[in-house]
Amino acid sequence: MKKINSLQLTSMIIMVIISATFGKGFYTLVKSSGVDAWIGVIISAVIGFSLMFLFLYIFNYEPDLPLPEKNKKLFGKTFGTIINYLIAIIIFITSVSLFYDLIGFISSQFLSETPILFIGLMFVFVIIYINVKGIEVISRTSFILLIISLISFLIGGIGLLNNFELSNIKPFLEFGIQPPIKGSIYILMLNIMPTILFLIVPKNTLVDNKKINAYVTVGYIISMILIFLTVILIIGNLGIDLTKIYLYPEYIALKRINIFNFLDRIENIIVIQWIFCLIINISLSVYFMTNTIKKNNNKLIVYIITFLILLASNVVFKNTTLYNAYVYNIAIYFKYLLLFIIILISIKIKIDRMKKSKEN
Amino acid sequence: MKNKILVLLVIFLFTGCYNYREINSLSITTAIGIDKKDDNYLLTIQVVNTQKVGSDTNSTGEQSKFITYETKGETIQEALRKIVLESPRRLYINHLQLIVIGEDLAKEGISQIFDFFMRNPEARKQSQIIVAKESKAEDVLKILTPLETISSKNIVDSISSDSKYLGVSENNTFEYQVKTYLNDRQDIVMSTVKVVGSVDKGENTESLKDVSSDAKVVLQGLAVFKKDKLVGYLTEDESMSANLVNKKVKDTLVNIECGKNKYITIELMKPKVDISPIQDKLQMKIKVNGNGNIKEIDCDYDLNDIKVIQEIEKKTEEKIKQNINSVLNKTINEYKTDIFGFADTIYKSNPKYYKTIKDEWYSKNLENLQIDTKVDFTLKGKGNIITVIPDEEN
Amino acid sequence: MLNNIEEIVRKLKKDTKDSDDIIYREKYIGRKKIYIIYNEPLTSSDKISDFVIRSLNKIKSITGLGLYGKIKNSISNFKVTEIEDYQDLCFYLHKGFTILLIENETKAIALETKANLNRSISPSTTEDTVRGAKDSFVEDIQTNLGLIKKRIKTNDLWIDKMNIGKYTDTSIGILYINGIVKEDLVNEVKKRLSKINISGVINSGVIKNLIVDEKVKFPTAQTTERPDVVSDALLQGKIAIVVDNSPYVIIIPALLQDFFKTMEDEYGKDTNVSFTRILKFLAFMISIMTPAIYISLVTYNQEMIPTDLLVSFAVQRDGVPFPAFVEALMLIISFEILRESDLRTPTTTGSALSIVGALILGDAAVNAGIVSQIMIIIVAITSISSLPFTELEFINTLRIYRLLFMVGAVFMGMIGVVVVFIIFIIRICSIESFGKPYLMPLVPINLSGLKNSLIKLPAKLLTRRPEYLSNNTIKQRSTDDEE
Repeated sequence: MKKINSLQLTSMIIMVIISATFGKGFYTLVKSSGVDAWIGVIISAVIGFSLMFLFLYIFNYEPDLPLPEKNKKLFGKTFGTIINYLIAIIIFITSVSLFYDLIGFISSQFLSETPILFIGLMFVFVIIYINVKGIEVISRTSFILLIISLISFLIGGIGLLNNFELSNIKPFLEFGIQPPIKGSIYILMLNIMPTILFLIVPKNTLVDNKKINAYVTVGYIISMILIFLTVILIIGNLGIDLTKIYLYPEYIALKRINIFNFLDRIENIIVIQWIFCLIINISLSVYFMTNTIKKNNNKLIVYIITFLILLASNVVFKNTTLYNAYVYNIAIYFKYLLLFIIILISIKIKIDRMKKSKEN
Repeated sequence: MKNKILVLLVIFLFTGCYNYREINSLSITTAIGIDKKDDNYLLTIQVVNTQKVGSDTNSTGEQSKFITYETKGETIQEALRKIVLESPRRLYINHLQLIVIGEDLAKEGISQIFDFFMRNPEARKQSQIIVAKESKAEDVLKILTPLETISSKNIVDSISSDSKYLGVSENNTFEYQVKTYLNDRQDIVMSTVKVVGSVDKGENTESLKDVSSDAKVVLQGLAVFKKDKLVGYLTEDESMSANLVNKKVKDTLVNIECGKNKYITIELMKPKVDISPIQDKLQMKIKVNGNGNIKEIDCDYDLNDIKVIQEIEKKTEEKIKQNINSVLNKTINEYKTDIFGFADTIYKSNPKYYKTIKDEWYSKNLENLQIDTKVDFTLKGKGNIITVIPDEEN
Repeated sequence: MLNNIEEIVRKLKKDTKDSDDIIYREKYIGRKKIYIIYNEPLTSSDKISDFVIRSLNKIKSITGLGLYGKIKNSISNFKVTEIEDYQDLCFYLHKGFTILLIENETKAIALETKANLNRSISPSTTEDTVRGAKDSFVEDIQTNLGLIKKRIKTNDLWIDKMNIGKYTDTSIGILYINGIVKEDLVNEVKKRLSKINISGVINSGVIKNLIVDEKVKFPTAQTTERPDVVSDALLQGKIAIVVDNSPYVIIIPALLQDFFKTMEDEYGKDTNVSFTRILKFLAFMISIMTPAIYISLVTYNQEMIPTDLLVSFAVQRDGVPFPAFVEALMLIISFEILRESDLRTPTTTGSALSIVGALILGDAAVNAGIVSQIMIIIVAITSISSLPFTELEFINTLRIYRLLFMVGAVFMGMIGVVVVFIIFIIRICSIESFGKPYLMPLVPINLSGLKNSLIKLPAKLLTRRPEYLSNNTIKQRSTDDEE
């Protein structure tokens, strides 16, 4: 009896796609593409359509089943379970690094003396709370948080637009088209690939499931526009040299906002949108993982998984140098694996459908 | 629900308020002055004095509104921490407004200062950074000023209003200077201040009571850097022209001579400056477009004659061009720095060509750069009266 | 079976401990004995002598077994009920009916002779109206039902009656408009009401607490004293529960947006109404978050305040012995004490008095050096912002969350406030009032509902009822040229 709106599902998708832009997404993009990062975003937006098409294709197949069940049906029980667990492990690794992003940011900018474990404990509580309530609460919350994020993004965008200098993003394509393509692959893998999370919701539990295709496409376009605006405004404001040396340029750029000489120093309020996006992403990942392991929301598994995330992010990433190296070099191979799995699933669906139409 | 609130409270207790700091436990730093003495950094720190003078909030007590500390250390961070040996409060530089660099330190190189303030997450990057001309930073910070309660705010505000109305200083934040410095293709300029008058007298509160105090802090022309070392100063007129070319001027004044020791003062309002390189050549074109009003006129001209107006316009254009050329001459030929970012402009419009001239930029190409200045000035108004008030010649 | 009337009278006397309040009057018609029993405090003696005794006196002839039928026909009383057993006899006796026990008859007659123990209809003391009707409910269920039926004159207004309470046997009426309301809502309400097993119902609030979800701190049902509010709610598709002996009627379901609306909205222009509602929403946010934001600004995130303000704060807080959180807590507690005591004072103008009192007390405390001036302002803003709401329960909920926000601010500064804010939103999103999500029409989004929730669009555009309350979405307002 879980009824979600397709609008809420779209809001979850938007927040998931934007969330990786903070921290690791932006860092890899700027490091690989430099000044032409915004071209990289446009390229990835265009290529990403095919990815979203694949997702929707899988989504529309067997609308009663969530993704784990679909895999079991397509590949048989054992192989399907293996694939399910593979996907779950990759998502687990992604959410560990996202969690580290979140906690690292708060610890370095706001609460520098509090032990990282305690800050993590706070967020673990929030994530457990929202997961225990179920998918409806996650989707409703994400809708409201999306509205608040959009409003704060608007204020931030206007503030940054004041100080935008076109000369900061010149020269165009100094090193050719290679760097933007490399950057676009990063965005494709890190930002758009986590959209696999929304496949956990069976299509038929949506209230108005006829419109979902249109909504998802529009949501994807909106989130790509938001990422594009973010990238171009930040680089246009700070200049490429400053962007490369700062640890969190997205946050530092907001410090320059000065609207009417009155709304000064509001960077703390505007950066809240990133925290919202990251929390929704991690919550949805935990939901995905619990539903992969057991069909109904089992509280114990939620607790275990979230605490595992907390411990892993503390143990694995000892300092930011290791983390940056991981994100730039290693993380993308996991995502390649995920892409391979997605393509595999879609091909199998296509084969199954052809078989069925041959039988009929 | 009860369980959840309990769990939440327990978790909160764990976090234990590690970062809790009451306002009264902070030393709110508004200005830092940095000097160098025998390989040690000498820091002068200006902190707001938040002690209440009795319980009467309207009292104009004899206490000064800020306290100055002096510390010494091998690095800047060490010197800052040593404040705790003198003051009971924790240093808080998040409201920093002003960084003053002593002249000797500026000549040695300021990259260390950049590194420290950028790395510290608490330092405010929108503060001003200035050089103390022919003075030490500690002298600048020790002067009290009657108009503002915090003397650093006085300097910051005067820089800001000066850049709006006169154009001698420039209102650039610390972050902007770092950005310019990291960009190899442009050199930094900074506003300067100078202590005028005797230093010792300025430290007492007694000097507040006289209307024109003895020791003052006055804004001077710009300081020119090459990479991170100070190489020289510009005069006030040259600073105005430099700011003009750098597109940082809102309103400024131009004096043109119309007779022997007789001047016309023209106000140049919101000039539009366009610097464009010629493709694939070592040539730049500077175009200045502006209009303005006559503010004060000493010669006896007939201002209703269109020819006179045109002549005044022409003379203004020549004077502006002359000023720009003199500042270009001084910075490029004498100091050998590129404060206008010509290299940057060439790079941004034509990166391939820039690669060929990049290596010899400072040695050869900067001096060979041909700069064409063109000024286009229109006189819009003459003020409230349309003729000149003559002086009695008899 | 009521054949032996002497025995019944004896039993009744024994059960009520021979109470003086129950009057037993014997009368003979012919040779048959009739007992007239009534409960004196609950009945009006005028009615008994006028209708009952006089009618009985007119019966002269007896034709044997027809006495019962003759009495039943000739009593000029409007409500005549036949009783068959002892339980019903007691039931009607305690409701103010007069019982006629006829010898050797299997049934007895109960006649309605209730006394009017109510106050007259007077303006409401807790909910003020500026331009609306000023009558409000009284303590008698029949009068209350009358006030509602006076406004909704249709056959479709259905009333289901129940009696709840072992000792109080309180009548409860469930009102809804057939054709507008949703069936499952009615069934849900009836199901929950039938589960109640309680010794006594004193007030409608008791029933309200028993049928809503206890764990939720937000109010999920509205109580009101005004019949125009109830009629408007019924027209929207809600259910009203009228409880005897209580002037407060329960309206179900209540969503978050209902606490920001008042009846005045119907009478005013749309832009003014939208402005007022947005103002109330801002007051809601300010009232919950202001002390927390102040504490986090002053103790953790001093970089967010302009420098001059920071210096002024520092000068004010110099010499104050308590940390910011303790100060805030002390002042909020003392303000809440003042507010509670103000509720108990007899005059309603006491609220202005107590605010002034708080400010004066605050000023004295500042001069003594116990608190700082800025804290007084913060607490005053907080408390005044919680006053625009009419529902008392809602203001009490604000208190709880305000405290939670303050705790978050003390431990983790701005991030603590953000975390508690997310928890707050999760909490609101998960509340359901009788099956309807609390945050309708925002989440899940419902366009027709949005037209009249936070902002109010002009009346010409508000033509349909929101679908979450009613399946009947036929145009409810239109002018002739649009038909």
